[in-house]
Amino acid sequence: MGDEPLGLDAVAAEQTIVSVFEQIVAVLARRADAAIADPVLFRLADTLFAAFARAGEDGLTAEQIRSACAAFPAEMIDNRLGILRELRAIQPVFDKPYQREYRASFTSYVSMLFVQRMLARGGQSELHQLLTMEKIRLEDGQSTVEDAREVAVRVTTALRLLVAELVALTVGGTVEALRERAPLLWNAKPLIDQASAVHEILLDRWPELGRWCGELRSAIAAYEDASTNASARLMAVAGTSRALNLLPPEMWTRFARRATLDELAAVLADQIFDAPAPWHDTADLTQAVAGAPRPASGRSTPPRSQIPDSDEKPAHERSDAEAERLAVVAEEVLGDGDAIAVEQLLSDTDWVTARRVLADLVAASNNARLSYRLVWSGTVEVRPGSVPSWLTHGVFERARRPA
Amino acid sequence: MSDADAALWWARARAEGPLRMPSATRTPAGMLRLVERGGEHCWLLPRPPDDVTPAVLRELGMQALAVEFPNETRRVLAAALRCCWPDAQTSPWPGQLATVREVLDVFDQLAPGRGEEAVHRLGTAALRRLHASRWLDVDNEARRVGLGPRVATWPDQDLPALRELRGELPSPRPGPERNR
Repeated sequence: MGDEPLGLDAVAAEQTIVSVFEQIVAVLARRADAAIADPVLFRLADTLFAAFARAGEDGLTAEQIRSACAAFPAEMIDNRLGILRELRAIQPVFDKPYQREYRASFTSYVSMLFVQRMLARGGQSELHQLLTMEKIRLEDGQSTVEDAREVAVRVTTALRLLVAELVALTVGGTVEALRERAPLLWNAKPLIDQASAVHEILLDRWPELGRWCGELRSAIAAYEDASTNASARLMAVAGTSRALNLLPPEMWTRFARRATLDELAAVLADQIFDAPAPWHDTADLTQAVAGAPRPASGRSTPPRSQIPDSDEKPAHERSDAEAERLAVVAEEVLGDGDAIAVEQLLSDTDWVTARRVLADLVAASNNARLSYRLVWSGTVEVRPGSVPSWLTHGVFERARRPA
Repeated sequence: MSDADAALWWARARAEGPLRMPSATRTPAGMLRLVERGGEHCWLLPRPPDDVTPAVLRELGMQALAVEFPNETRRVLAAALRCCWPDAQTSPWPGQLATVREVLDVFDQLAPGRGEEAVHRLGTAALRRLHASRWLDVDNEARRVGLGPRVATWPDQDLPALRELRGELPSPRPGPERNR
């Protein structure tokens, strides 16, 4: 046990054990430092009693005790043995001098079990059992008035203390503290019913105890109010997942982490599950491979602007073929000369041919890479009946290249 | 082995999936016995009659168990089949061991251009799923992948399609064998 790695949870849990233990023994303690303050000591006591239980009626010698608790430091064991002997938690097997074997006190071990149950339930279930036992005792009719009065006083006191704690937590405490003490709220209703039953028996059989019964009644009512208020506060904080949040989340995670496989599986012990596994059919496999996403092949170039960049050559390289064709047409038209009149070219042909020639001449004139130009004069000749029917005089000529 | 024992084996297989047993175990009636490579253990799987597979659920219009990321998972299974099935003339089981890197490399080639991290994440998740359902046997310590017993439950008439699929897949590219 001693070599277990200590996590934060483990330390917290051990501190809880010690704090509850301290609360329990506080009533009996003579000095504040007489109760153990170290979880290791608690574990030591546990180991010790287990060893005694194994040893049976013969008891254990001091040496055997030390070897059984070998996981703990020797001086700690000696110290513990001294105290336990003094308090008679362990006693000599026979009361005679030089007795070497010891036996453990049954009461001491039961008190440890009690401590552990107090840990789990926060003492509220002890109150349940107390009430049940008192009720049985009162019902069997052998109790005296004195007994009955004591019962009333004891139950009243316990309930008042419980109320005081709950009210303090509800009004002044943090929600976390309230959550930790939530076990106090579990089964509040049965507790109230039981206390009321005891109260009824008391009042029924010993009417002269009216005063104490009145106090018990008010304590029960106060407990009812206090538990309702505390639950209401927890519910308000918990919101929709109220049932889970009655326990601090740390407790859930701690349980999940620490529980053994059997504890976890116990929930499902009476359930049978299929172990279904997905089926991968051959067709699915083929389809998945065929449908694998392929990246697009290569990138398409982004669209280019038609306007040339300023430092680039003008984009008329692209119209080279057109320029060559126009140059051929122009040379054919000009022949050997340097200029030719437009009307000369356009006469004696039909308009379909003439307009094509005219279009080529205009294009050649406008093309900046070719050195031809059309020069028009101002007059327009109207010639009804001939082709073209009206004509502007003009000359198609070679232009001087810019030097 | 009595009928009652066989029934118990069937119930166990139903609850736990394929059962890995010492080779000395006798084969219960109606179960498929697959001896592992080492020969020390064998797998026991229920063998439905007439080579029926869960694919029949689809024909019956019933809901089959869903696979998370079905396409990625199946691509990884196909990649593992490519790497672990050395001789296409034989049946895939038991196959040979391949490294996780080789399988992920084939997976990467199936859908290229996804980035190393995405391939690793998708591939690892798929390997884990396939390991959990016993389609593959993934050894995370040794970074090795082997075929799981369920690949032996593909019916014989599917084998030609599987061989064709295996032939279509790219082979793993040689790379640094960091894990050797």
